[in-house]
Amino acid sequence: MEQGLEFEQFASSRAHRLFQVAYLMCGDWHQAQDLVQTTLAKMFSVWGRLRRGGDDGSTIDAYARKVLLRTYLSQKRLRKSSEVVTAELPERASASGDGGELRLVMVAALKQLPPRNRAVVVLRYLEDHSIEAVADMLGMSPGAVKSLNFRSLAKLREILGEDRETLFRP
Amino acid sequence: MDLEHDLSRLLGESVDGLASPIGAIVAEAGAQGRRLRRRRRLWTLGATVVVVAALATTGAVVMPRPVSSPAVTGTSPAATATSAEPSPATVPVTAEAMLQILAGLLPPGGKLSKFRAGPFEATRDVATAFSVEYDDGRGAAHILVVVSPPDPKAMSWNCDQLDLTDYGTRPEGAEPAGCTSTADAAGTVVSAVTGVGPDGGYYFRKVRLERADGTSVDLVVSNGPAPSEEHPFGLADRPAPPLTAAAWQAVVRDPAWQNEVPATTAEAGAALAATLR
Repeated sequence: MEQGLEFEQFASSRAHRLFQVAYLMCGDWHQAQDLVQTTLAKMFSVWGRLRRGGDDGSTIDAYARKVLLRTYLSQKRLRKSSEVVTAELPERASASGDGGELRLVMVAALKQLPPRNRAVVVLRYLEDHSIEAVADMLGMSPGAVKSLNFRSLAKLREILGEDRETLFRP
Repeated sequence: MDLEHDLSRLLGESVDGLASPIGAIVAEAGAQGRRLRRRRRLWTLGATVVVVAALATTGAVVMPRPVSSPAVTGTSPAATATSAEPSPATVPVTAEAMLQILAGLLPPGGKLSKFRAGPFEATRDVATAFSVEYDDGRGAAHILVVVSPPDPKAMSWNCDQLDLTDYGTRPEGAEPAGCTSTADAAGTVVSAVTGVGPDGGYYFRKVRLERADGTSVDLVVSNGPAPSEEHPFGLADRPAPPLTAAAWQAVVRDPAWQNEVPATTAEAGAALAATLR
């Protein structure tokens, strides 16, 4: 029972952030919910072992990202993606203060990247993880992550195009 | 202005007002997690056996040659099927009888030790089970065997239900996680699972045979000794479990595994088990 309560505390405090990460990676609200649920379910099933590891919580947080990432990439491999990659962004951001429009623009831009590239961008720039940490989560070398990151940024520059000036306005 | 410089802000602001169904996620994750844990416990029998005490005898024992029990000497299906038919000389299967059957099916030259009769935490009440350590000369490996009679309450399963995500780094030479399942014309289904790799590189290979009548034989073999209090998730002492998946499938396919066995097998098994405790 205590284990369940402790897990619930962890899950409640982390679910929102994990949901944000999942949403930007998959671009779909319902799929993000499914991803986070699956991630936390997997963690619940080994919660005793995770807690016995005796860490300060950072290791468990890193583990959560790793499970989320692997679940996301695994789903992308298993499913024939139903996403429609559009040549142009569906809407343009008119002002940086509008989170809804900015969200649409960013999700549409990220969707044009391959899944692994999206993951690198989200983990690097939303989560502020180091190249080495992202490499560990993806099971890749730091050099390969740097290369993915470089190509992803180049593609995003190209996709965002003229919206950049509007988007970047503080 | 550079994209890289502002990307953190853009991504952060883009999800600032994003509503997330935290309550539903946490509740459903807990429910899914419980189901997953039950399923994992069922499938990781080898890793969930709790060693409660040091065994009195830890010395290795030279494994006997195939036993003379009629249940294991026959090599043709017809001969063994006949031997497995109930007769006045049969008794309900025991853990010791199962040990005797296994000993007769393993290749010569290995060593068995640390026999323990079930039931175990992860085995169902209706099942008969035992665990033993087997060393083929390349390190000890924990083996768990379970024979279950037909049980309408037994969980149905298939490979798709298994979560085969590794949780740790496997030792060099270890097989990847996977699951295959095949059925023959008689309705016997044999499944082979290479399980997840948790901490310490400890993982298992499991073969399961389910006969058309519902009787099942589960055999789990790991790449290290039984989990202990010191190493509750097992400790690998070899890259892979002994023998091959095909060899273990041949073991569980042997018709000697029955809910009723010859009394002579049970007697020989009791004598063998006494030397391995």
